[in-house]
Amino acid sequence: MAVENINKDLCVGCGECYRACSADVIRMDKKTGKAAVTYPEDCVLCAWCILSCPVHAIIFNGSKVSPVFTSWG
Amino acid sequence: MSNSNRREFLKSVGQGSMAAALYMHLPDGAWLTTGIDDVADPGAASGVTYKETKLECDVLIIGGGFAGEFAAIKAKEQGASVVLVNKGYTGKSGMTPSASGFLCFNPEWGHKFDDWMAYTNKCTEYVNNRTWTEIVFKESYPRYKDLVSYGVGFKMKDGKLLKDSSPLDPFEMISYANNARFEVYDPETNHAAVLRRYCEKIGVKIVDRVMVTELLKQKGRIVGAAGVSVDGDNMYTFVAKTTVMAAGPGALKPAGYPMLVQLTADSEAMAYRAGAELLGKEFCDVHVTRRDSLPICARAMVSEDNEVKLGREKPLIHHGFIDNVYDVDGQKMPDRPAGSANYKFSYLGPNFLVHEGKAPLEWKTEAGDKEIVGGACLGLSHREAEGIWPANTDCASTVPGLYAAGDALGSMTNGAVYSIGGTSSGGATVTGARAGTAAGKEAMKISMPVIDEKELARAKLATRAPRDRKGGYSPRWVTQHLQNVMMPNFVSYIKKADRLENALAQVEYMQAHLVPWLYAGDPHELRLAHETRNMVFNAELVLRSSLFRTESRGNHYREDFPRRDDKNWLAWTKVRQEQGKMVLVKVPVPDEWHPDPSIPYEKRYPFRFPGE
Repeated sequence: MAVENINKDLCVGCGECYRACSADVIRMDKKTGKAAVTYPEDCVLCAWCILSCPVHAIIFNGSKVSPVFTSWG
Repeated sequence: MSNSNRREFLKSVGQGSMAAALYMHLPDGAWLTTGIDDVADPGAASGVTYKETKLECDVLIIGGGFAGEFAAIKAKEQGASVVLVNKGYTGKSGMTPSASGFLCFNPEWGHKFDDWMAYTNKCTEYVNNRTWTEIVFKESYPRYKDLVSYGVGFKMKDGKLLKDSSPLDPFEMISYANNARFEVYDPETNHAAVLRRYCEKIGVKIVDRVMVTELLKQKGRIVGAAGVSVDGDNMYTFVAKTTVMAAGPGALKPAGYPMLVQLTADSEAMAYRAGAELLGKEFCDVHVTRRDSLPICARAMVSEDNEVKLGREKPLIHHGFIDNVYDVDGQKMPDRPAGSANYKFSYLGPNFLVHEGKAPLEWKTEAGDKEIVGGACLGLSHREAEGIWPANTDCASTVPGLYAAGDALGSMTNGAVYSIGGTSSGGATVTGARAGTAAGKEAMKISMPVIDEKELARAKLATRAPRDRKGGYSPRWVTQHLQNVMMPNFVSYIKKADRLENALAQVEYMQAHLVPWLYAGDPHELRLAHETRNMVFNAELVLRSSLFRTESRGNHYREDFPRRDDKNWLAWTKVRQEQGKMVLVKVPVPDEWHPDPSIPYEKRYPFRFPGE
């Protein structure tokens, strides 16, 4: 259920998902002007990006996978 | 730090090791110096340079939910210049956009004040602050009228108000016309978005995506704050005559009531570091959620094919309102005793079933049997049972120049149990308006402070420190570690001294050895590092407060003290910092608010705790 990707063909670059994400997972790609999943490990599955997206471009995957954390560096 | 500021700073505090020695003496010395060779010039080693932005205003508002937006509007009405800063995007992020109901007391709608108060006093188990309960009730209708005048819609498609009421209690909560629970979420008409546009219209300067990290204090007074952009290396200084803290409550980033991810006890932690007193945090929030659809607690339903739906047509758990819960043997959770309908909202019952070994719990719905899980609001207190201690009914804190509002204000409107649905959003508008009005009035009488460069340098160093360490711990790892310590049902919900002490020992270890080594590789992680620091503080607050209250009451249950103790504990917990240590004191509830001792215990408290 974590946000996985954004369908670039559908995304219109409105920024609603970027503004809606309290976890700061989604950023706007300056080159393409479209939304990009930048910090997926910080997604807390709130689905607010999906609710905000006017064109259904947000892709969820089936599970939240915790990354392997390293402590130093 | 820019070169000119660096030079200025070096001049004021001396070179490297001297500066390190200077800062080591401060309560947060380890945070400022760990892993940083040259505290006076950290940018030279880390290579991180910051752009500087300085903003001056009469009133600074930290946080952009209902409380912050109302405080901004009301301060502006006093003639003040207002800056509102939020680490998310005001009108879109945080909890406010998903608020569904507004508690509204209005005698013209047939509401009887005495009935509301009597019911509340009983359901909150007599430790609600009646002054604040009364204020929230009586000022809710004027704030409702404000919301309507700003353009927030309450009328449903049929043109009528949708009022939520229960035959078991006297309250009425009105639903926002556009919210995630009943209608399709629309950023054009959502109440939080409407309030943002109104703030902009009247000239409030909104600064988005800047995390305030430290309050600026000089001569015993708060004179603004320091913060940093989450998008880039841009340091902010806010100079203000008065400051309103409205950055919400504190949780530990649980998945389940997911918009809580932004609410990491920043309000309490910053105020505490600046010397403000806080309310204790022993009355936990007990929201549950569904294992197969975590966002359901926030009213978003994820179907098996990953489709996300909103609305009433889908089976929802909302606000912990859980009926039809069955234990592992298929036994239905017992009904609440008459006169305690409050427990529908905020009820430890499922936690007790788990306590008895009856997990997993299932929730019978039309869509089939679903497993429910706890911890959806890990680290949170139920509404208004946490936050900055109010020094008066103007929402002033105990530190001059600092006010607090919304969930950041420890008003105890709801006492030991969240009995009155809709006071989170309704109460935030009421306290936001009060704080904004008072902060605006005070600001109009005093002159703009001149910032002490040493204090500003300290705040900037504290802000950037995780970026300047030679290395350190990932904030994500420390957060996960903290969640693992605090998440068990037998730590945060079913409490006992030995388990609390063990958890506290682990949290103290994190305070001493992990927090000072929090490392951030980019601006996004810098936000995470500050949040993690604040969340570890939050966990300490929860554990110490839970150990301190040696009784059970409402949403605080101690296995080793399973009864209410009216003789000793008709009291609130107040927390403050003394010589770097957290000190807890008891503040008695006024005698005239005590329950009638001639009423037998079982009638005074209709709900039974296990083992009492």
